[in-house]
Amino acid sequence: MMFNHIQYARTLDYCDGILLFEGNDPIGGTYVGSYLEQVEGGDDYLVVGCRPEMLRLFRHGACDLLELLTASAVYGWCVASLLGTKRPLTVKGTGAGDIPNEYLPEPGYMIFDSEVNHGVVADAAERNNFVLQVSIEPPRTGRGRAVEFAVVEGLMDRVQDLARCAVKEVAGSRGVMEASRLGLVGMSEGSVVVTLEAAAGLDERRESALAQAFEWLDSLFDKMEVSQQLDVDMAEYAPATVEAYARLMKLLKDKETGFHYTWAAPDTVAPSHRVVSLERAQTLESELPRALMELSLEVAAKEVVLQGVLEAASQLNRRWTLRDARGVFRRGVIEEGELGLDDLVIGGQYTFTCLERVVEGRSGRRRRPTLFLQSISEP
Amino acid sequence: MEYREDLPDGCPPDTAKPQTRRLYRLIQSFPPSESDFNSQWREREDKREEWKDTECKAKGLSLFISPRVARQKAAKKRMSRRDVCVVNLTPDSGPVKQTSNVHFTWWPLKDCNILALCSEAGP
Repeated sequence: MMFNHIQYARTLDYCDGILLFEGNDPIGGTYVGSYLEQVEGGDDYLVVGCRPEMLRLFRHGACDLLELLTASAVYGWCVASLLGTKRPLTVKGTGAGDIPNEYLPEPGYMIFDSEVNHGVVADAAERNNFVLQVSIEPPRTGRGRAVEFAVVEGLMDRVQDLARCAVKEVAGSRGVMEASRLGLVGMSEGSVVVTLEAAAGLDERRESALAQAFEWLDSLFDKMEVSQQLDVDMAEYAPATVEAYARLMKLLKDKETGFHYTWAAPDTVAPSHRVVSLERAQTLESELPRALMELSLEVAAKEVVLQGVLEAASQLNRRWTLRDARGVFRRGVIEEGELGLDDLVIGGQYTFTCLERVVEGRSGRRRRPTLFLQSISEP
Repeated sequence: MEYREDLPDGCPPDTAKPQTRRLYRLIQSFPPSESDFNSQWREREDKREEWKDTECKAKGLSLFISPRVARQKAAKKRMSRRDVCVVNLTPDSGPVKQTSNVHFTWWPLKDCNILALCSEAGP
């Protein structure tokens, strides 16, 4: 390792200062610097030398920063100051083997590298269709560089299942099978990066049910990324959706991999992407079954009064979201011909009186409580 | 399109787009003031030459996906800003780019009344 000659190359993540950067040395070595603390004249970073392939996986969202740093530490690491992007790093100390915990980031820290993901936008424009790219990076993808067929099959099955549930959530049951079907259009060698497109193409308004469904799925993935009350948060979704999501998490846990997806529609300027780290998948996989069981316990209809800030309201979809004083998002519906949501102000304080009805799930084994809005008042 | 800051060529990147979204910003205390929305470029004038490569990012504002993540970041970076407020972004606020699974960079438009977009964050 030539720690004394590392030069800043580019910023990988920035938040009120450079959080993460890529560096190079004069003989082509690749390094990653992860922010530690501010010092006089600059900032200190933990710097590790890493294989370009490992950095590529990180940029694709196939591993998190913790994994990148710990896996790369075997080649040595150092603490160095970055005093400007034009100067070589100033090394303050070096180490070998395990990195002290206080230098390491939280699990699940992943970047969205738009250079990597931008190909999906071009692909969507060229195909004039909704395009989805999913990737996982299991430690053993098969013999040599070949990918195990069962891994691809499992991934496709779960992604298709989740897409079907999402289309059903946003567009209803009619024609869901046709509208949600994905077709395989390409795979890259060496890792499980699969590109798919909407089998049904665009509708007469040049829209794709799958684009709307994945916009909705993005918010589900966001919620699962930060949720600390899975039983509460999951209550807003159909049991089939939760089950589909849980099945994907189980695949990730079983195959010891994170998950990354990117999608775009033909008129998309920037791709939309989400990642799930292996660490988060393991947590979700162990906790989601319990959350599902709790969902099934509520069986009676009862009146519920909610007070909070209106986060979203759609007369068209007959759906609303209220955030209560504890920060919990409560979602519900209005019945056709009932109350109007158009006059409500997003961000306004409201009291919603609802009827929480218990609806039997598709399987008949689980039940889902749904909040039906009965009356609205302002506190 | 006129921005709050004088942005360099190619900034904001094409991948940044206007969004209707509720994100979170670290502030000194609620209610926020204009100074809570100073970019790093404004706040660290002495570093401008050395950090020229990151000018575009430094002229953006950091937003987070949740109050919890924002507070974690404040603790890790030992920031003076420790409170969190909601920023209710609209298509007229300016483009936003998601840079990691929890972080966004926002380039406000010149006419954007930032403080009017803010509300108190929950726990």
